[in-house]
Amino acid sequence: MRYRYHLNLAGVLYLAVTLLVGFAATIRPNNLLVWIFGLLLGLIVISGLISGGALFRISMRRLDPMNGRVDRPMIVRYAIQGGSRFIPLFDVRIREVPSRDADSSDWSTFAAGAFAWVMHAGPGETVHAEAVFVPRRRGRMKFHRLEARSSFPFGLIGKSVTIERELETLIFPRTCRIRASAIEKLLGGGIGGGRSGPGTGSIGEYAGLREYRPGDSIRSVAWKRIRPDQLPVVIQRAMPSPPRLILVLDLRRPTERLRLVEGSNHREQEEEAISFVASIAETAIGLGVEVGLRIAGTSMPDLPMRGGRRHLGRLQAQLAAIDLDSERLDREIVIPPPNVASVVVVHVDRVDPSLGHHGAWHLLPANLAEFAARPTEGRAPSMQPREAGGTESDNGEAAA
Amino acid sequence: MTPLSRYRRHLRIEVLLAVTAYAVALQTFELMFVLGAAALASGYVSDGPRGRYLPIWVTTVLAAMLFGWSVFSFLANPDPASVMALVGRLGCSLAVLRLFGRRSAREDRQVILLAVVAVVGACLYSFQFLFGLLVVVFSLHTVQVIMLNRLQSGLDDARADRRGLTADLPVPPVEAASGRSPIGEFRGLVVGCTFVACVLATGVFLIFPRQIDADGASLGSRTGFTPEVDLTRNDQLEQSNREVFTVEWADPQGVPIQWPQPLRLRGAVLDRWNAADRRWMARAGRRYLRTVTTSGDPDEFVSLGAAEIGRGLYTQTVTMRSLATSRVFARWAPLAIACDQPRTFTIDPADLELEDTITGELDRFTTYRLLVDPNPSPEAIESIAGDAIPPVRPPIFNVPEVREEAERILSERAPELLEPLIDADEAVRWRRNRQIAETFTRYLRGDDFRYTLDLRRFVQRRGVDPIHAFLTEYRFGHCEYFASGLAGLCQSLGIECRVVTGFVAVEYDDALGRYIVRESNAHAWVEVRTGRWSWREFDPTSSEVLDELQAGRRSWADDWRWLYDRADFLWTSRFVTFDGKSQATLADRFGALVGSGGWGVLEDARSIARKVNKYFQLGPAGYIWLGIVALAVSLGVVAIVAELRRRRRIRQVLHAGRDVPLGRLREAAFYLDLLDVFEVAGCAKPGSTPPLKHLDEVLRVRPDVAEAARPLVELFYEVRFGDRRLDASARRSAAESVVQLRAIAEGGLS
Repeated sequence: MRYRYHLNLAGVLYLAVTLLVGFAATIRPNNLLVWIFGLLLGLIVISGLISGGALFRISMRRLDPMNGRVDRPMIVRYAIQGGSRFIPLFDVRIREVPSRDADSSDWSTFAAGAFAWVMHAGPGETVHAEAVFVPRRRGRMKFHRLEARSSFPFGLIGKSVTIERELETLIFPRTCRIRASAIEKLLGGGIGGGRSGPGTGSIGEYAGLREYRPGDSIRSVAWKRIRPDQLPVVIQRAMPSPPRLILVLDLRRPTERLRLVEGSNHREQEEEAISFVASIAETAIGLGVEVGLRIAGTSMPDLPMRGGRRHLGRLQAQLAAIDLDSERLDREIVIPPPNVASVVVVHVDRVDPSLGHHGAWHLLPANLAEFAARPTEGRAPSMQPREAGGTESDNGEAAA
Repeated sequence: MTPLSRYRRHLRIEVLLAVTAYAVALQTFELMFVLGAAALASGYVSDGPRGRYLPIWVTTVLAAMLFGWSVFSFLANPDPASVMALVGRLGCSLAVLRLFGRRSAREDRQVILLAVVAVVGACLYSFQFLFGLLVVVFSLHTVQVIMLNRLQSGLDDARADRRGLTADLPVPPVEAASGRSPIGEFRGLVVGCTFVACVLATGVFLIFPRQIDADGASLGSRTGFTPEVDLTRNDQLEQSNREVFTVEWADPQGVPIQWPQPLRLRGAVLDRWNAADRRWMARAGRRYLRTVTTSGDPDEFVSLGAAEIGRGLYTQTVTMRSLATSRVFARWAPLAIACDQPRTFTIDPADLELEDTITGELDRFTTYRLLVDPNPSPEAIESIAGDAIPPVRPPIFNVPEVREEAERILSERAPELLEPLIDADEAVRWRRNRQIAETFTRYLRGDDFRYTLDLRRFVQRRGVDPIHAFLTEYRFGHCEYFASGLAGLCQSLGIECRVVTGFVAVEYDDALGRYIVRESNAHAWVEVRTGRWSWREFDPTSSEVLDELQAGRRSWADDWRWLYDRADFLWTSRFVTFDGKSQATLADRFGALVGSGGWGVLEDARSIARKVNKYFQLGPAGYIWLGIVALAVSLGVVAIVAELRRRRRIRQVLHAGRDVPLGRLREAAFYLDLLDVFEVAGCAKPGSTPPLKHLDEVLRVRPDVAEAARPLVELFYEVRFGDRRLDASARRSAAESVVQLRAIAEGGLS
């Protein structure tokens, strides 16, 4: 914990005015001016005492925001508790301090600075304040230190306290909504109604009866079908089988060796490919599709096909954690056959049909404009869906 | 509800206070009405629900016009002394103008700064109590407004920070993170800060280096008595109506009467013009000073030197009110003195000037009496003065230009008085002196001269004597200038005369049978020697001025004026005139207090009691009354403290925050007594146990108490959590039940 005093411009001006009044009180025997001079001096002392006393032993805690998303407000909450027994906190600004080292994962490389404002916290009272960051890129964002600063009550002398509080959070890639019809097209047979798979379980459609086995839930016992001389039977249910989609992100080619038109930003193209995958995954899971993820060219594990928000979080976390600076691996990835799941391969520069089976969809970041439900405007160019024709191959057409 | 809810209102009050203080200091009340009304209107126009603001270009143009007006005013009257007044006026105007513009906390800081500039500028022009009171209130209010401004600044910055964000989704608005009772704690902090600031300011005020004897220099520019005439000051005097003392003028039979003419009460006699210092002074080396000592009996007169005290003398009784001075104010010619305190007075037999420089100043509660002969015989004066008055004492007046002016006036108005007197006898010479003085008096009372308290246009120049400048160039001033002019003209021609300062008692209160003498009655006039043992008063100040003084200016407000006068006296005597001498006295008293180990405080308390008793003229029974009042005050303080502690305890017991109104606390107060009863019954309730659960515990130990307490506990639940309201009778009933319960609890123990 580090305490510092700051004399700001207002304080310097105030000092100048105080000295001026003191000078006037000296050359003119005016006791009212003397009293005002004393008051001005007294306020300087009080300013230092109050701002210092209020921040003395202040407790600051950053509540984990869990994750953020590119171009969306990320609310970071802080729990603030005043350390003084008598002096309440007023007008305290909590801000993140950038790292001293040139750390690419520092929060300052992700978003502009923001501060949380605490209007008041009583002695020993804990209040929660929030700062809003808008991350501009994907990745692992690290917070290092917190600073509480206050120049209350008079703005003459500021006092700041810096505390080491490290935290890492993931910034998910930017997503845009994909048209449902596009997802249906990618799935081949469409989304349709409910389907049942070969597996059995405790939920889903009725499939039959079987004898009770130890471990079966008592809820699944078919009481009406049991005669007194019979062993209990349980209801066998078929597991639901929603449509499945495997997303494959092709990152096998290193950034600098991408085959793009000269002058284009290779890293940006990779980010757009990641964003495309994240967008398809988000929309598809929202439509009830089970989505799996394979990232070719990295050592990241494959994610199985699952549905639900939690799995979507896992997918996005996987995409957020991709380190494009790491070495690319020529690793074999396992892609299920067409009867198990539809496959969509997103390439960065050119379509490579060797990845995926014959029924797989091969997309480029340029196809995002066609798939997007509504074009987003007024954003940074790097985040907008790129128009078709941005690459050297295939003119952005999807290839099946 | 946050502390910022009333921020705009406080800012408006800040500006209003600044405008009022400035108007009081500069006596420009038309400005106060205009700007004050505008500031009040801004509360509806700009800060009201409609929120109409002046466009920036309009405020800029108006500000430029105000600035141009100030510059033009200065160029019209390029007086350096008026610069701060103009700056203050500009500050007030701009601050009010700002209230009509769209503004953030930053612009509000400018408003505060402009208000502060206006008030600090006004400090240079006024010393009166009302202004001082306004400055103190303004200062303390400024502390609060600055603190509010800091909060508003934080909110504005947080909002601006959020506004600068662009994102796919709407950015959530700023929510002020706040604890349970922001308003209460903010108020507490404001009170604490202002208290500490006041203490520190007073500390600095006490130890600030000052001149050892400022001689009233810090008193500033207001009407009032000064023991010397100083013509170096060219500021504007304020008319002060503060009551300084009362005078009872009784005829030889002892009946209070009103004298047909204004009573001129002489305070200081000055007969030497110091051209270098530009002031009238008493002559140096008074060899004939005598002292007389009074016994403390107000009826026991001590002769001032007259061989015989006749019976046909008038009695002048002076009761000091709000003036502390060593001078005795007496009508010409005092022959004997008595005082209600044992004092030693010094008398100058040459001019019958009385002073107490030995015992101490004559301040509040002091009463002295004088036997006065309004028309003393030469023998009486001779018996007092003796050798102190030489047959001829030619004055020294080294300003040739004034003599030229005197000769010019005489050559125009009475050229015969310029002719030299050869072989004339003494009576003729004295008569001619009187004629010359009368000529000069008529000249000064003419239309060419104007009486005014505003001397800001009277520019003092090096090498130009102010009396000469008054007589030939400016021809305006107050009574001291008129008296100086007459005395200068006379002395330049060798006529022996002297300037007298004191008071003119004109306001006679029939009900009291006394003259009320105010600071505005301070006056200066001239006494010209018209015989070996006789002097005659000449007042060159226009008689209309005295008529104005005689008008009295009494109104219904004057009935309450004594209250203001007391405060004004304290302000002047304790604050405005606080100088190095006062510092030394204070330090001595503090040292004595520390040295005496607290006995000094007791002595001071006794002294204050004596003074209060004497002031109200209560007599010996007054001490009993004072004791009763002190006891009542003490009991009141104890009751207030006990009530506050009880209220705090109720809040603690009920876990009620500041948001719970006082009425609700009062309704649930019986529960506090119920807890005391539980304690008496030997089963005190732990803080963490709910009341009903605790009742089960009580049931095991004291079933009788528990049964009787159950309705009360249920009532408490209904009040605290069921939103039931108890009227006065229900509260009384609950209190009686608690009393009965206490009896049960105590009975069980016995």
